[in-house]
Amino acid sequence: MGNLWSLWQNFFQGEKEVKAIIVGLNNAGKTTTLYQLHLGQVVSTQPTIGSNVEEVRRGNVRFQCWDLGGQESLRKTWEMYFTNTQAVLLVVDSTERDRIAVVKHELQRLLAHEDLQGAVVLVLANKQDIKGSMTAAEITDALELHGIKGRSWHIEGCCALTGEGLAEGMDWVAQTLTSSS
Amino acid sequence: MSTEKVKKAVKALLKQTDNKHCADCPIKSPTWASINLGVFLCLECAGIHRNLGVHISKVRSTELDTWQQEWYEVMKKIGNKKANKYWEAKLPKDFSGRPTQAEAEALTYKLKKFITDKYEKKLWVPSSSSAGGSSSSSSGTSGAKTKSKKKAAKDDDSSSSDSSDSSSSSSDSSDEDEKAEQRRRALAKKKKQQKKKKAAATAKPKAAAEEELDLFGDFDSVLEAPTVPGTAWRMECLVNLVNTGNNLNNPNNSNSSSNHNNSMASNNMVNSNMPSNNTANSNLLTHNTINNNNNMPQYYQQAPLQGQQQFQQQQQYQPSQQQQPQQQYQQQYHQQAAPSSNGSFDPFADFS
Repeated sequence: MGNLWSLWQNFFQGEKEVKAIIVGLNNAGKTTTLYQLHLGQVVSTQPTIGSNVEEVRRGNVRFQCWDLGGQESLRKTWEMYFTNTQAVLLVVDSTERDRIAVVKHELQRLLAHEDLQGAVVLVLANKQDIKGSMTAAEITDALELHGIKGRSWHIEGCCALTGEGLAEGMDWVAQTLTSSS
Repeated sequence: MSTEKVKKAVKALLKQTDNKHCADCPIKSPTWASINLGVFLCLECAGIHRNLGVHISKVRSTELDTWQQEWYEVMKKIGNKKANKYWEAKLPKDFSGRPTQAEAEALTYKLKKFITDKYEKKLWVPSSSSAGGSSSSSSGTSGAKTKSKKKAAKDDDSSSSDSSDSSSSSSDSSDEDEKAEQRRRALAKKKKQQKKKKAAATAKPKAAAEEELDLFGDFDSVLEAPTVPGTAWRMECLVNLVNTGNNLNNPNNSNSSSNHNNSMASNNMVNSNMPSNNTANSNLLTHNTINNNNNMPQYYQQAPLQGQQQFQQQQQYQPSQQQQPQQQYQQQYHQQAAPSSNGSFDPFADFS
């Protein structure tokens, strides 16, 4: 039935293609998240130098996901990927309390960029499986997400190793983007 | 110190002879560092360190991260030599778990070559459907191959006798028939895995395409990646090292017997991790095939042919056999059990 419904949707609305970027600090779990979404399994990763790109389908939406390296000097190159980006997936390492301020700074830089004015923001609070990690609510406060005006945002606690929470997050993005257009 | 100065100072640290090699493998000129352990690492080992979690190792790049002075202080204070003096203090002198430079490079090279040979050059596909590849047999491993063939034949015998047994008793109940079927499947799967492992260990073309017709019969075992010790193997070494390091920290550990126990425990842990190691290996495969355009380590491109030749010459080094003691055991077990399978003794009881 679900298949029929998506076929119906495809017929009338067509498949929607969305460019999404996966950003975050180094070792937040961006590459693991990408391949968990793409393959449904954990791959052994090395620090990303440059980027990885994969296609992820969620219902009626085809995401072209760019996973960008999170090392400090690579963050400056993120903006080369910003054009036509409709969704920003910010992966946060929930265990690293001391670097949440850096995340906030990077997020503000992203939000201020003119190429990302139309993009929705999904914050993935990764590594929820680890004891003592910050909850989604704590991260919301730390990143001052409630201060974001004029765009949709959402936070989802997740664990990229098990895939928990990722589907929900992507569903939110898909839903938000399809309903807004 | 300004950030520029710190960066220069770190570069200077990297030029010291102690830090010219990765702390965990012999690969030259490391560009990554663990800022809490105080060691310099290569890209590959840095990936493994990151997987350990930040509570054990915090990895930063010497080139891509802005260095803080406190990180530099740690690196200056410790460095590869001092760190290894501590972490490898009780490492036996004849320890063979750490790959040599040639092995470390050859393993990556070998894995890449195997995958390109298999999928790109299609060297080992059935001759009817192969485009350019010919299934040539190599003479080098003929001894081992005949052995494995014999073993396979034995296994076949045992399975067929087993099936005849079950068919004679199938009038009793259909349950047993099903069980026998399951056993045969399990056995076939196992055989394939063993063959794959052997093929991976020798990384040479298979003699005859015996499995041609089975290609789609047992799909999941076909899809399984061959076991080539790569990242997972290094991971094992690292985990061992870290475990023994933790043992050193343990104040209860004063007498040698408890230490022995601990090392046994860590060994056991590694053994019990075997299936997950295998999956990690297959993950490594997928990752590399997907990812080799941008994450490619430098030594991929260098293609150390010499290293590989050296590696092949080293006969005593057979990681896949070291890694799978259980496998060996099961092989022996099968060979012993096969002749007596006509009696009441059931060699496949474990698998049903």
